[in-house]
Amino acid sequence: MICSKCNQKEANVLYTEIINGKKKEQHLCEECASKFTSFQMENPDWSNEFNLGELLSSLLTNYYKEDLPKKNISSKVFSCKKCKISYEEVMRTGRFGCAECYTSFYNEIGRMLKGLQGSDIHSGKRPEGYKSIADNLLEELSDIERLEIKLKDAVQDERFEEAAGYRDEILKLKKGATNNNA
Amino acid sequence: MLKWYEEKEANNDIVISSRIRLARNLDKYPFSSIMDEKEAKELVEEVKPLTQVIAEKEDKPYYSCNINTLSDMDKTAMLERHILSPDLANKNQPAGIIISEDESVSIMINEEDHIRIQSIAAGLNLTKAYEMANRIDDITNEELNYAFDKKYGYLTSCPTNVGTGMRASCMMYLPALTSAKMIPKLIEELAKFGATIRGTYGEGTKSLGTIYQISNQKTLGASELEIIDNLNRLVLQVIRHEHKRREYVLSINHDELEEQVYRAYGILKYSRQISSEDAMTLLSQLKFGTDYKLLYLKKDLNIHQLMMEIQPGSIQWKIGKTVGRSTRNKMRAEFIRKTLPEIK
Ligand SMILES: [Zn+2]
Ligand SMILES: [Zn+2]
Repeated sequence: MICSKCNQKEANVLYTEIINGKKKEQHLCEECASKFTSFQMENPDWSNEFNLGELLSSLLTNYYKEDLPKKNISSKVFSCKKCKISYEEVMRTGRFGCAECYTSFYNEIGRMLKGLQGSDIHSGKRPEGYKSIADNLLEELSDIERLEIKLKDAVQDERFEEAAGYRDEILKLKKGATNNNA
Repeated sequence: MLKWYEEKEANNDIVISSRIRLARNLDKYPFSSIMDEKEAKELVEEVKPLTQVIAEKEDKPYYSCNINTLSDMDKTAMLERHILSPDLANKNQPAGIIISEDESVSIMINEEDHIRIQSIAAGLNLTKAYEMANRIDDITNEELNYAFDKKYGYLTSCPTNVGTGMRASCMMYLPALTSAKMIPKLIEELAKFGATIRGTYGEGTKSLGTIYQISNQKTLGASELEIIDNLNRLVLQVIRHEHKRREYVLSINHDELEEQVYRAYGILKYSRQISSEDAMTLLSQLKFGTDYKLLYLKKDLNIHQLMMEIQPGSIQWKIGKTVGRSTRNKMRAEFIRKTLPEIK
């Protein structure tokens, strides 16, 4: 049988459609069938684009990984300081009780939000006068911390000469800090 | 003043409208889910004066009202026009709404979040809708203190809204993809790129009138403009797929489709009683026919507006009292007969 669309190629796909309550069958060639009936969204270019929230999220996790266990001390206190709602109830209902809950359950919700949203850092609009997490993050880092990040990066990329340079600088700064404190 | 859906906009044969919703909470109250009656009342009274401030700054009329003062009939009609959400209409606590005269902007008070700013523009125009919502958000924030966290952004009752608090969506008319049973595949494909799709009228993914709502899933991490840009690109792809399907169906089934469109017109133009479900299906077929020039009407007809106007609540609202199903079906048929222009 010949394809009913292009009237050229051999038809090897049977395609059914219901119009006006009546079933109508079409014999199509593979090319016509895939041209008209395939359905796939193309990967939009943006999915590879730079996403500040995601980037900061992974940066923070990597950077603070070692500190996490120490911060988990509060995990025994399982209800919000302000509205008294329990974390168990938040998980069960999917609703927080108040704005303070986000602080009370700080250690728990980071992971939950990353699972749910793919990020745990807001990078969009903020009320006037608020600094973004990116601004704060960069400001809060000491010179030593900044160098430590560069050092880790360099080691990871096997740029050992550069890494050694950072290491020396860090040692020098640390020494200076001790001297000043003395 | 023209309602938003009375405005003419290019590219709306597939995208009917674009909508933005911003969820916001005030830092001084607990979230709506655990608020008591007294706090809810205070919240509504504190937010309502915004009406005048917004009206002045935007230089157009805004109105406000308490939800408990609305009749069930008013509520249903407002639900059908997407001004109210079901959550707000059924709230048994003090709640309120602020709304612009053209119905393009509304602010729900004490819904799932303290404040939900909604804006809507005709056709595919998410940027325009966002600019409106963003301005209202700035004005609101000058008057009231939001719950905001530098790491998590705008804090919301539900963690699925935190960050930007923004839900962007497009209402799309997809008859060809629907009849080809491609909606389940579309759901799957969109999910891969962080978007969801559901029926606008009717429940779940089942849709009346083949009208669907496509929206972003995630609210945290990406900025508002990134989210809008992403959704826009996805919607453009869906438009392309719908066009491709229509072209295909038309090329192989032209005569059957023409017959279907004329039958739909015939039933709509001459029936004496009609249910909203039937009317929605037939109007969807008629819209396909006029969009694709299978049938010409003597006057322009905004079919989506007609779809909203024949919903049960809106029909009752026109009659001015609550009536039974068979009376509604007769009134609906009469209204459609009067509204439908003649065929050229
Ligand atoms: Zn062929
Ligand atoms: Zn709380």
